[in-house]
Amino acid sequence: MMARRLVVMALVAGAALLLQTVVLPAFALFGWRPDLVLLTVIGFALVDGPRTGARYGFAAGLMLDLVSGTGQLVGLSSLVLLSAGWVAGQARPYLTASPLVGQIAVAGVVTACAVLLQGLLEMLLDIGHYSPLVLLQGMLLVSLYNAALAPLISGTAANLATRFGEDPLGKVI
Amino acid sequence: MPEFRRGRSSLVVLVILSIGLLTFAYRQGPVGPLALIQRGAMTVVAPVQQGFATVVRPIGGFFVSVVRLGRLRAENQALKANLLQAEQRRVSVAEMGRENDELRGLLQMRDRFQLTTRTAEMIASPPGSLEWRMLVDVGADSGIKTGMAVINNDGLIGRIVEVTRSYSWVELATSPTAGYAARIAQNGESGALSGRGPEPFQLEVYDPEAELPADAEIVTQSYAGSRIPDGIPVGRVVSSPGGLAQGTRFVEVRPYVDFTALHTVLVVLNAPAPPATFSPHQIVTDPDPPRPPPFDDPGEAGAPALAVGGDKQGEAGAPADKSAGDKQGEAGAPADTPAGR
Repeated sequence: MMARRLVVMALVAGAALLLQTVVLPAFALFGWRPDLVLLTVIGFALVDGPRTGARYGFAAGLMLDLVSGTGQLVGLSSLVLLSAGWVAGQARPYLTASPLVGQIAVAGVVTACAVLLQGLLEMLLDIGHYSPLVLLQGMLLVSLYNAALAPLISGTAANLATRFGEDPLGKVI
Repeated sequence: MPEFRRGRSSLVVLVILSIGLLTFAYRQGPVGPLALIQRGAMTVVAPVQQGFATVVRPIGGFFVSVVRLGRLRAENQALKANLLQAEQRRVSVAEMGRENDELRGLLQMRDRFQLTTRTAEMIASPPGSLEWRMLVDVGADSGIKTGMAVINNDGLIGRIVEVTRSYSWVELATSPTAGYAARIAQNGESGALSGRGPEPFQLEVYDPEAELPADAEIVTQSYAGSRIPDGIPVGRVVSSPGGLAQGTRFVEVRPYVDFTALHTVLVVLNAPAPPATFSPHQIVTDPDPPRPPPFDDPGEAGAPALAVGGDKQGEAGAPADKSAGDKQGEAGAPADTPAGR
């Protein structure tokens, strides 16, 4: 069961990556597009909690860093996504009353924080220079996109996580 | 409580691991074991992305058309308006044609650069939201090298920044880390063009006194060692000059290229670039100076003395000066010479 769940998680991450890199650029608004991998991180974190969120976020981020070519610093997306997974997982106990609304809200807020964190880290490491206006625009548009897609993407990830058991990564790592 | 502590400790471990990877990747640069793994991963994933793109792009294209229906309608209206304007201007077409012929004749006087290009398909973009790059399906096997320009029929798209045997990453000109030498097409004023993500480009005009025509066209400018061809259209100035800043002016440039709808592009393989350094056999140490005209030519008596130079000045320059002085009265001296006054 655990191995199947890991395979499912890997497949979800791979599918999200393909959609994000191949299909979604065509839907970019002012250059910004949804972040599906982040949505899957949020989905798993909301089902399993912060530990799985952080670990899956780290693994998914590492995958993103590795397939982005040498222009991307390895570890950057890992740091951002594991933080996002941890924060999203912390919100899990508070979403029992209205899971759907909670999921949308968490997706929006966590996405905005993730874009901000990524932008700040890139500026800190001198690999990207963004005006506050650009960052604000990115936070707003990507979080709106993600909030709209959260029921579909995070919801699917959460359903798969529930169907294939709970928190296998805790026993692996 | 122990579970919470265990969760916290695993978070700390992962954060330290990420920071460690980040530090290692930052220090190693584009070479090193992590870069090698990234290139390997790119070689594996790129064909999958290419196959996926082949399957889903037509479906995606349909949805994109639906989403952009409003914009397409607006474009249609604008094109109709342009057509009407063009018909109104038909009277001046003959004059433009004559001028065009004249300019063509002038252009034949010099060799125009011929670009050899390689057609490429855009496959995928990076997963991150803050990355302005694209993966194309040509690599070193097709003669692609880093630094080569990528263009389409609208103008400059970017440059190649990373090459594998079959695939390459293109850094879009909109990337905040991208910079190009550029000039204003109308008056040739030079500047530095930089990308700003989703915002228009920024052009820093070097000469603070330079005149900036409204709606000026910006084109690329080649320089020593660059693989970017000269004169490739980039965009138009959209804002009025933003005032002086440290002796330079900054203007916004709206790109011609629609960076959200890139499919087929051209990689320029042979941009004629001035060499960054000269080889020893190219350097001419003793150029043959121009010879002065004969003394008895009254028509050029004033000018030749100025044209004399090089090693032969001693033998030819002095008499020419004298001759000029003697003949100023009859040949027309420059206004600032004593004889002329």
